[in-house]
Amino acid sequence: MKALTDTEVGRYLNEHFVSSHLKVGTFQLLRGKKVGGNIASYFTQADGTVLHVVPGPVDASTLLGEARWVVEAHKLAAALSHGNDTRYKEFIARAHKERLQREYGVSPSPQVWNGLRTPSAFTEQGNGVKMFQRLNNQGRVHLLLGAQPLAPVDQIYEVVFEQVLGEKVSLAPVARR
Amino acid sequence: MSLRREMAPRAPGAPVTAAAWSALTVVRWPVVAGAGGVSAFLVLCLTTLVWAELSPRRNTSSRSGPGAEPAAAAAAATKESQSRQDLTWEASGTQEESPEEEGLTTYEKAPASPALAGPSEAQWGVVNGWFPAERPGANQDTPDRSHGTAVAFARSPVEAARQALAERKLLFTLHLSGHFEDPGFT
Repeated sequence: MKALTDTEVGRYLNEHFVSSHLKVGTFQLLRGKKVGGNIASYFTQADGTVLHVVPGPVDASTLLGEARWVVEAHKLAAALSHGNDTRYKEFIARAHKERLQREYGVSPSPQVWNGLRTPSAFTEQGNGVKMFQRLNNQGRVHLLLGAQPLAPVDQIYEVVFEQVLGEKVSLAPVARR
Repeated sequence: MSLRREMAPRAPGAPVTAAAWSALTVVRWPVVAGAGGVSAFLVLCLTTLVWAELSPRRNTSSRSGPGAEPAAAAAAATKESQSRQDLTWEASGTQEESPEEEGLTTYEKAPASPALAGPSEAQWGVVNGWFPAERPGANQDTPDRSHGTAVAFARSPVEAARQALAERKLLFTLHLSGHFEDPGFT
């Protein structure tokens, strides 16, 4: 992702985050050309609970803007929650709901939000996935994290990679043809 | 009994003979003179010994005589060096044994080893005054793991989590297809 080569992005990420990478999918090389494959950038706490996700490759300004939004939301939530985990989680959820409503014009009712909190809501046939059709990749993330804030990364990474990005989680090596 | 021996009466004005003199007293002056000489001789010897103890150098030269001065000086020097050895131990590559010492050897201090040449800045990888670990974005745990980006990546997500907890930072994790280390596979 070329956004990571930007010095400003690198400086900001190195200052506020500890970075790592993980192979969760694969792609094919057909006659030297890459087919398939994708990328998702997770912003989490040290315990692996997800604050925000940037699905797919983005440019440097978008990635930097999303990183800054995460840091500021985290700081504000930590300051207002006074160490209360429930209040912190509610603040993060509200931050995603506000962006969903402001940037995409989507504002589900409380009952819908309650229904989206179940583990099956974002499976292949779940209501959450049906709502994905009205949103782009970033909007889908706001819907997912507004309904299930601070979800552990190991619980939602398959939803992000498969339902949001339309890829397949795989540990298979790169296939050359 | 009176000390004076009974003598025959002497005529008035007659001289006193030696026999008469000896007969007059009990003190034996030759004995007294002899005892005094012996005493004086003993005092002289005692004085000489004390004087010899107080001045050892004079004593050595005086004992060994004028012909043995160099040997005496060497013996004195050896004695001094032995006293120094008792206090300090000096290791050396050469040993000089004094024939007068029993089993003790002297050592000369080995010359100091030449200082090791330190690595140059180029060998350290210093660029623009920055050591590799100090460069902005450098990961101090590992060599350069930026993989051609401006971001310093940890060795693994587990290591990143540990580091984030220690440094009170958030985590940034890339989930991707392919191997991020290979530029052609991302």
